[in-house]
Amino acid sequence: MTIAEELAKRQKKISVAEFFEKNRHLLGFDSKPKALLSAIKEAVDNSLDACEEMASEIMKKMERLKKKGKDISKLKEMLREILPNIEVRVMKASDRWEIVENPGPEERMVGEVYLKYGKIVDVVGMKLVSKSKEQILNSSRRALQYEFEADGYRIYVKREPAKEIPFYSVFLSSVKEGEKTVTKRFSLRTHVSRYRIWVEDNGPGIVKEQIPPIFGSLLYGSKFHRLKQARGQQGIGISAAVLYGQLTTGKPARITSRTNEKEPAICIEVQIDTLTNKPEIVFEGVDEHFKQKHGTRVEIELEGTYSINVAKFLKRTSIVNPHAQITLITPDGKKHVFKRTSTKFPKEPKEIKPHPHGIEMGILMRMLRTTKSRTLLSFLTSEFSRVGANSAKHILEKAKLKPNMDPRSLTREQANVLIKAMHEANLSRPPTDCLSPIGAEALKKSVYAELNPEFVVTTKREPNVYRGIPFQVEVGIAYGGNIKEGEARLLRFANKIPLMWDASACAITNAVKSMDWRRYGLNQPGGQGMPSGPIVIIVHFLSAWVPYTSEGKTAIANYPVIIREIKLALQECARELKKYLTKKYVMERKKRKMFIFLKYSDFLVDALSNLLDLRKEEVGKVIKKVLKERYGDVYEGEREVKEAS
Amino acid sequence: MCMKAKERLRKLAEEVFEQFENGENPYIEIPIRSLRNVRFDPEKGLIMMGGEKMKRYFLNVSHAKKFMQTLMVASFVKKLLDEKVTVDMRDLFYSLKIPIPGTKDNVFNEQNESDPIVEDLEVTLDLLREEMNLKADKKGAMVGDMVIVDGGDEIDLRRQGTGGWSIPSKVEQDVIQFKEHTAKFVLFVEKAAVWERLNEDKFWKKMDCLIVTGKGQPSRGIRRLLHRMRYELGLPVIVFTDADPWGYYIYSVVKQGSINLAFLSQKLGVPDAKFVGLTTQDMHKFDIPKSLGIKLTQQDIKRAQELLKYEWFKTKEWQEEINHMLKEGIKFEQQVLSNKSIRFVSETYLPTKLEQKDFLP
Repeated sequence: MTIAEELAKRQKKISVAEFFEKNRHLLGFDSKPKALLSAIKEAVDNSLDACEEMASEIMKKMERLKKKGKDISKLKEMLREILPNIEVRVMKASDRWEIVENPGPEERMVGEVYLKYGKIVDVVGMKLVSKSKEQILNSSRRALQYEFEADGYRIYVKREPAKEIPFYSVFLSSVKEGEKTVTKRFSLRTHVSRYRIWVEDNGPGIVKEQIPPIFGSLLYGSKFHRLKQARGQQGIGISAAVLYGQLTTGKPARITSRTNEKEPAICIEVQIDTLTNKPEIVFEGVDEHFKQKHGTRVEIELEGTYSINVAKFLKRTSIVNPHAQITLITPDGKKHVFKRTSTKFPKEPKEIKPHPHGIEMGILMRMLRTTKSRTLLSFLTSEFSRVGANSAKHILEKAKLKPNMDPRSLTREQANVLIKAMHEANLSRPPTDCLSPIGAEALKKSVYAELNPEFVVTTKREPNVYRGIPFQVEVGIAYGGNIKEGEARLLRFANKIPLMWDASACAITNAVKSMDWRRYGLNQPGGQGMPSGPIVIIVHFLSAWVPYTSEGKTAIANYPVIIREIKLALQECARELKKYLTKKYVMERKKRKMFIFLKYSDFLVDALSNLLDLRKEEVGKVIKKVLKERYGDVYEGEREVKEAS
Repeated sequence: MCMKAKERLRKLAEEVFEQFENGENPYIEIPIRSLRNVRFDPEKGLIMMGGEKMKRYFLNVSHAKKFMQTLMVASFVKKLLDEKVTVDMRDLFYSLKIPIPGTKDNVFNEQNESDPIVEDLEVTLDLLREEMNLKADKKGAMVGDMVIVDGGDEIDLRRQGTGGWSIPSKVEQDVIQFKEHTAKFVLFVEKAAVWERLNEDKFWKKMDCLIVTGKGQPSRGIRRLLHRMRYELGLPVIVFTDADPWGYYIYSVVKQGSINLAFLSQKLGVPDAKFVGLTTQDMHKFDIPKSLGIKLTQQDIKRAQELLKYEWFKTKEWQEEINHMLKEGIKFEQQVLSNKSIRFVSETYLPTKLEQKDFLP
């Protein structure tokens, strides 16, 4: 049973909050670093999917217009505009300071000042006194004093520059208590393990009515049991991140979206009613400053830990999504841009019907219950791929079931017999054209751009089938250049999503480790395990249904056929790498030799010209000619190097 | 002589240059100076060099540096000949300790690199280093009843004090001439200290001989001088060393020549030299307590076993002596004789053995 089903079944009895607490590990929120990354992952997945869905709509439209012989230049323009541009920001929530009376257990919040690197970025719940909000926000100076009025107090904020971390003292002055003026001291409280993530895309945007259910209700929009190569696959989705943020910080998620250039962006703050699993709109308004013509921005504040894994994750995402440009702004303000290396959208994966060989009991039961077919025979032929009338009859004969039986009436025992017959039936393989690989060339280009290696080899295997489900493997090996020496790094991907955890349980890791890399000119202590050298190995597994080992979706199950395909692809790449390394080795040896002869040849010129009473130039010319004839291909460059040194 | 050397150097360079011009990988052919390429000529009683040669290529990573060094030395020698100056091997080394640009390497880093290259050139060009205006370090001294001319100066070898006349590296006819002598033989002594004792006791006067020391393994100059005295003056050469494998080998070098300089054996060897002592068998003859001996080390034993296999040690007497040494497991230093009395060596040991002609062949 999948988590989705579990959730569906259990949410009636317990609150979603309770369920979430119990199943954090399945949802990817079991540790602070993982939680932050999972939230980003869900948001980025959504952004990529949204852009791709819109692109495929546009492409379909283009096809239609093309057939009619109409102008499609406008649509082409649209397609270019929808190439994903995703901006991810992670901000320390400690950048957001709450003004609290200091000291005291009963802190009373009087307002919020949003600061970033000493600059005030927003003020909430307070009336500004000394300057207008615009003046403050547009000010480029960092260490200013500001005055606010809140809750009857007049407050001013002053930076204390002596402190290493920007620290702000808030002074309360001129509090009128009767006739007396009392001065009270306030300070700013920080949240160290709180972060605010911000993911903005240039996708189609989300219409206002859709925002609350998508973000404010667990399990909305189910992707489960669709046999289609998809990122999320099980669709616990973004709402889990919203819920997590809400549970850890008490803050709603803020969604800003625009679907039409002519209208302003709408801004909705939404949270989940943890008892009813219904969205609650906390705030609704417009955002005049939203810079995208169309697109969506998700902001979630959550408890988490920022780690280098965020950058790694986005970099890897960019490798397998060459058509996307991803920008990361880290909590300390550093900007990483993972560039787009292709302007072509990947082919849209097709949804396929399940193949009888891969069907599981739970799914079969559900299909039997929900089918529109009136007979078992038509159920088999219409709900499964590769099942014609003949093979359907054959299956039913074997299962000793009547073809005209109502599928809804099957008992569990009968279904058991049926599934056995289905698994044993002699059927052709499922269609494999439903997959959308990155492609060897695009992958290669992308790897060059992201890893900056000296050499890259990529390959794509033909699709294969495990348990009736089509899958395909793409592999790349990058060598040298910016890649560091040491144990080879393995980047695992499934359906264009980087797999960040549980490497040791994964079929990809096992395939890599079981190969004899020494045969391909690499070091591998003991002939098994990870090879070493300045190498990055990239394995992309794509399938209509990725067989994860657990609901955590972190490792691919060890089916022999999957391991075999990965190994074959790796071997193909490794052979090319070996060719390259051999050639490189030969050239380097030749260069080294050449260098030795070259450094002695000047002395030879001296000696021979003295012994023969010839001019040095004359002798030098002759010796140079011989070296050039024999080492022409490495001669020139080396000479320059030598002269320069 | 100078012309001959210059011509041969030029010919070597021309051959190399021609190979370069033909686009070939140039090489120099050098006779091999190792045990592999020497044989003992029993007729002549000398170690002679065989005909094997090796080719030293420029375009071969392991040869390139030596190839360059060979030509650098050749070129340096030509300059010496052009300028008519003579330098010693250390001068040559320092002159060619030239840094190679872009590396931490030098043309030569140590003298033990440049010395073999000079020897290579000697055998390749069939020239003595002296003919190339190079001289070896001088070591060794001689006294005795003889007058010689050294570089034009008349020197009376009877009046050389305690240190004796120090033997130069070049002892050819044009530098050293023998004038008059009454000596009847030449005694070559391994240890300088023993030689000094003999000199102090005026052993040479008493026995009417010349005494020479090589301070260990004798240099080419000393060997050349012994050779000249044997063949120009007809003086027998008698050798006196420690009773150990190294002392015996010194004797064989004086007598038959060395493996390394086999090409010079005809000019340096004294095939009829005789060995007076010390032998391990003398312990019985002179009643030397075994306790004064030194236990043979692993190296001593290994070296002794090698000697047993050398063609020129295959006489009955030498096999007996070496086997005796191995059996007893000890060796003796020349100075062991001082145990009897300080002058035992000059008054008893040598006179007795010389008189009885108690020699090893």
